[in-house]
Amino acid sequence: MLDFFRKKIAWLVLQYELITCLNMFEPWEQACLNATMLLVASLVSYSSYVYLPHYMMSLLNSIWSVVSTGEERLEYRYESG
Amino acid sequence: MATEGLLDGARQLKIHGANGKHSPNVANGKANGVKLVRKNGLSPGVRNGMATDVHSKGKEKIRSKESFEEVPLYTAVMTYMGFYLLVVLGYLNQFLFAPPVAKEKNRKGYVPLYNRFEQFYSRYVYRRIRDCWNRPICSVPGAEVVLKDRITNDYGWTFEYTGLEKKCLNLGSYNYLGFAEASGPCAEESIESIKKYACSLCSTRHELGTSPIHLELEETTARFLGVEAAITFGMGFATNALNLPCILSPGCLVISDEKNHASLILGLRLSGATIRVFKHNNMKDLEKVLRNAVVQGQPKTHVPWKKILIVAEGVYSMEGSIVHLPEVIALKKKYKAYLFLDEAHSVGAMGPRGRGVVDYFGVNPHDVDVLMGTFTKSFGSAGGYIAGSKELVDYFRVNSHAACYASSMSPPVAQQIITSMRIIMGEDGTHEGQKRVMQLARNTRYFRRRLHQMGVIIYGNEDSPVVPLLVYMFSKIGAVVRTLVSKKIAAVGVGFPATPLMEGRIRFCLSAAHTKEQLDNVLDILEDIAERLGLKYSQLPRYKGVIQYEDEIE
Repeated sequence: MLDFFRKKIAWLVLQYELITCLNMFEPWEQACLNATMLLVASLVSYSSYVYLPHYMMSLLNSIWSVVSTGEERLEYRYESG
Repeated sequence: MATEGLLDGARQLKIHGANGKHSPNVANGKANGVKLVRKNGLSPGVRNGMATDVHSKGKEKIRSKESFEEVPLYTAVMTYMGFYLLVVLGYLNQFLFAPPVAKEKNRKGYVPLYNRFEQFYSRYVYRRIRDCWNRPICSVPGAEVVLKDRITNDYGWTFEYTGLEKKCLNLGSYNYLGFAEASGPCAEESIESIKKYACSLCSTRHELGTSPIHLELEETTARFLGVEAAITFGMGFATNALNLPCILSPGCLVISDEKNHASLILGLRLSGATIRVFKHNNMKDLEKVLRNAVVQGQPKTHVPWKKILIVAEGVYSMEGSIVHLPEVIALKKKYKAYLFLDEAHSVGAMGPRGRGVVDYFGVNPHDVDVLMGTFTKSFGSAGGYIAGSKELVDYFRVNSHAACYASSMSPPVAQQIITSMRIIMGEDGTHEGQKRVMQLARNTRYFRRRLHQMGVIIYGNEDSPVVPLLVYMFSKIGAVVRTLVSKKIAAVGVGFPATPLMEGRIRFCLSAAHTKEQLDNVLDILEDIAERLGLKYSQLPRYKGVIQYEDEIE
């Protein structure tokens, strides 16, 4: 079981290396690239943890108001305007 | 009559373009005196018989399949992303560290030799996987080849030899019929010819460079192809690049396939003729271009074109596809154009008798106006030929720069071609040649079917011995070639300048010298690599059963 996961992870790492051409770069370039990738990934995960729930709630709310009766939508528009 | 028209415009060009150096009269006299007498003696009756024989055979032929599967969207996006990363980091590298090579500043008054992007590309993209190309070898490139090991300590800028050698299975040479051998009848007769004629004649064909062996070679080539006459040159690339300008001049139109080889493109550009390109092997597009050319005539003036020449190759070396010859000939006849067919990869390798695509489709060789080909591939030698009607060949003999200024072919090189051609034709009294042609066809079909079953994308016709395996990503070219070498298989990777940016590929060239066991070994290793590196892009349905290697037919 452990062996299966180890193989799977090794395969995924290899795919990552091939897609980013990591196997062609010099060590400092690899470090650069990995750092950038890590930075992007951490920013995305951080922002999705902090801001995403709030965004989702407001998005659901606005959709809900559109889906429900037209008068309410009108009201909403006046309020927001 | 047809060739008269073909030569007409070019003759005018020669007269206008003839300068002091060039003396067509002297050349003419020599050519007549030395060679043409023997050519006249050849009986065309035999050839015609052969040609019609081919024709009747070919009619039962079932058209084989050709495939150019489209790239999956995900792969396309990832390939571009990888390339952008390479370019961005390459520029960063170039900005931070000066490249350790001689620097050519743009000197005043000089045109820069390379454009900036080309220079950048070769230094910061190609250099990173340079170890996969230009590998020195130290043996005959037959079924197996010995590679010289080398290492790099500075990421591909320089290489050092380790002194070790590695014997690999050779899937990278155009040794289609396996005539690249260090022993056997070809090698023996070549050695004999050195004793008789020496290594080189050190002169051009027009002067002292013609010996009986050259006349024999030309006569054999013409007989092999089933046409009236042939002329041979010492270099395949120059056969295209220097002879096309002979028959073309400004005011002529060339309709060229988009995947044509660099030598053809160079020749066409040198000729000064107008070039229009049609989509690869697309007969509808060809007809559209032809019809427009005939209807519109030359731009602005609308004067009819002096002549229209269709230029196509037999087997396309990067795509593995085969020209749709019967359709091209039909179109050529319908619009009264001429056809130049480059059989560099197909002569010897294609057709039931190994006579090239003309034989493969069973068409009459006289329907193709100019038959061009090289001896570098199937015959395991060097040089090129142009064959066709006697009148056309005589015209080339007199006017071609390659015949006039280039040193004539070395006798052992010529002897290798003569002997291998005789073996293919069965004139040595054995069935060796026919066996090799059939072995190649069987190897090709087996290898291609197995690869297709594996789920990788391969381009081209299922009968073509050139098998391009698409890997798309730049990094995968390097990874696959390195892995193959570590498993003792030598194959060629092809990247951007030779192919479109996105379509990186590995090219396998099959040979009659390979056995089924060797191919099975390669296929097992490829299966493993395809799984590990993710090359199984194909979305087509696969054949589930076991693919049989065809039995030898006696």
